[in-house]
Amino acid sequence: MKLIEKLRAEKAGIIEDWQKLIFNSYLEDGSIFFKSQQNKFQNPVGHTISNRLVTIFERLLESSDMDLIRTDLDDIIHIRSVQDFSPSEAIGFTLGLKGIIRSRLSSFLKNKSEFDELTAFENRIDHLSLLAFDLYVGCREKIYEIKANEVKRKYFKLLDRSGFIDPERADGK
Amino acid sequence: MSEKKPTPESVAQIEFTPSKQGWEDPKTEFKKGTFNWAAIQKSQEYLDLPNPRKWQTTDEDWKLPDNWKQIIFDGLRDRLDRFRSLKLFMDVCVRCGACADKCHFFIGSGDPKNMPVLRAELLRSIYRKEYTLAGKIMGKMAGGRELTVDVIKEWFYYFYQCTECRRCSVFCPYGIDTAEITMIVRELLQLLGLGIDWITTPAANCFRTGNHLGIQPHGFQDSVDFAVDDLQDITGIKVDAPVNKKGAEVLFVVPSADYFGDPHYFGFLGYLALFHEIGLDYTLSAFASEGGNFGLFHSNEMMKRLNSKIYMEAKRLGVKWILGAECGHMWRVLHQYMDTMNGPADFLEVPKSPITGTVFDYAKSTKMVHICEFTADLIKNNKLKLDKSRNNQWNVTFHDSCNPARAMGLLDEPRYVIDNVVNKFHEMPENTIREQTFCCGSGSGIGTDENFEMRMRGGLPRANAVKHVHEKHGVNVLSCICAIDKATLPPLLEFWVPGVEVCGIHELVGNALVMKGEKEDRTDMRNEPFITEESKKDE
Repeated sequence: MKLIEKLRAEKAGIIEDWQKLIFNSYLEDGSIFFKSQQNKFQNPVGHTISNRLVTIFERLLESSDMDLIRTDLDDIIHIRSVQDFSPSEAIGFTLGLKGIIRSRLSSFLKNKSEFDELTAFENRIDHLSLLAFDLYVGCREKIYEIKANEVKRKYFKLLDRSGFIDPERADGK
Repeated sequence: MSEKKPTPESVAQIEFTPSKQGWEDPKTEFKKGTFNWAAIQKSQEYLDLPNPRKWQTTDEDWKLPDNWKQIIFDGLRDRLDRFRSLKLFMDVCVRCGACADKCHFFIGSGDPKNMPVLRAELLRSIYRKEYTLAGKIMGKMAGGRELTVDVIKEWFYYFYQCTECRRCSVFCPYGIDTAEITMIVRELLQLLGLGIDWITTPAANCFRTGNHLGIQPHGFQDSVDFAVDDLQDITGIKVDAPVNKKGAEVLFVVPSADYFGDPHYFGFLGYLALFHEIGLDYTLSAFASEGGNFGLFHSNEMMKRLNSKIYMEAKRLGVKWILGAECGHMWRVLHQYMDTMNGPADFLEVPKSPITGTVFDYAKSTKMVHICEFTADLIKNNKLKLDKSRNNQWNVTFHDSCNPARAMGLLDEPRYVIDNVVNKFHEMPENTIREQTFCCGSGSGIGTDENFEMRMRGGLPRANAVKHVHEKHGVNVLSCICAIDKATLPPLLEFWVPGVEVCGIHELVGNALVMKGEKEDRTDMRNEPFITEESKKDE
């Protein structure tokens, strides 16, 4: 796996490009802030994105097991699922990694064997995108579940107070 | 088939960067999940508001009055003349940027118009164009903007995103209070009949029945009776919770959510247990049945109108002083405005605890004491028997609600109370608590269903700090002293930090309180058994 070694050698640059790509999806002043404020409590968006991208990329190099990536990717997707993005804009950064790698490794990619290796690695990125899609839908489902439960709780309370609910149910049994 | 077939290259061209747009462009897109529904006509009419009509935020035509521009200019002129603070705030900002990254909405969204300086600029640019010489002559070059319908829509979008939490004002070297700018713009919008329903309808309810929920006196009595019964189930003790009792020593005012919403209700049970145990001579009022005041999010005049019932009821019932429950913006109104709006309350006495003899000097003018100060004083004077282990199911952190923290400086009393009723407590990081506390993201009347995504963005910095103590120390409950917090933090945490619940401080007090004559198998305020060493072994 010459490619993986090459990716490891280029890791810093690739991650930097990937972070830039995702931060540039925000309006300019927001993007500057997310990139520059280092305190994780003053800048949860920037901090989470920067750090999780590093972990995700490192794990992609090690394995094609998406379970190892799930939590880190979910932290980013949670944020982007409630920001001002369409679904494709919210998760598109995963696919953006392909272009970054091709551009960073253009001098290395000369013959078929290298392209075969790249195709195999890009397969992992495709899986990353599919996982991002699952997680995004999960977040949106969660939003609607929370909203629906709020309404249910409100009406349950009203009915309970009016004596329309079986006492066992009212106790949550 | 005149359309050109796209090439593979063009299909693969994905744009990751948004197009550049100057802040001066007021065009606003009202995306589902980010804005609030318009006030309904019935509520507008009930409050005699201008331009009552059927309209909706998503309509292209907001049905403004023909002379809407003049109304705004006259309204702004009037407020510049009346409020010197507004005039100063318009002129004195040097755009140093100290506030820029302090707003929770900006931190969570990255939208530049949520930077307090730029949000204020949305009004300041109009002010500059109309009221300053430089702006009149040089227009855009001097930072001026033309007032258009798009600007009005932009104001509506962004000034109903500010939660008036005042975190930004802590950092402003000139002391500019951006919350007050938000208040003024909301007043201006109201002149055109542009309110949101979650503020206007509760205000109309409150004007009619005394509380935001529209609960009438007999319904209020029912709710209190219900709580008395629940508390009896829990403790085995039937407490007395008087309503409209003339001649009581203290009038107790709560936000209406306390007797209707969860988890507020568990704290309400805690108050009733506490007052019973110390034998406080108090009364609730079925008319002053709301401490909260959505008038504050509407206009100066509406706030005064809704607040007036508190002193009126204190006078009618002949009490000596007033005690107020856990609530956020309620205390901004009571502590900072009530005295000069509807006072002086010279018919009341300076509050003095009948149990400890402590005189609450800080409230000698308003005559109203915060429940946390009252309880802290009881604890300090050893008047309560408390068993901390009864809160062993909770690993607690404390969220400083914006208004008690920043508007009245109530920082240590809640912590003192918590420290005496729980065994496990961990603070969140210091730049997220006390004066620098992060807002829940849903205050000032915008904690609605329809702007849920916006609330999740605004609440992210708060939730992020909770997540930190949850992961590091195993914190499983976020305590707070604000009714809006108690309503809006549970869904926020369910989204960002599942596994952390929300409670009021007096729920914890009620749990820890050892009551004379309580039944052997008494439970906590949620009617759950206490976790004892024996129950642990059983597990």
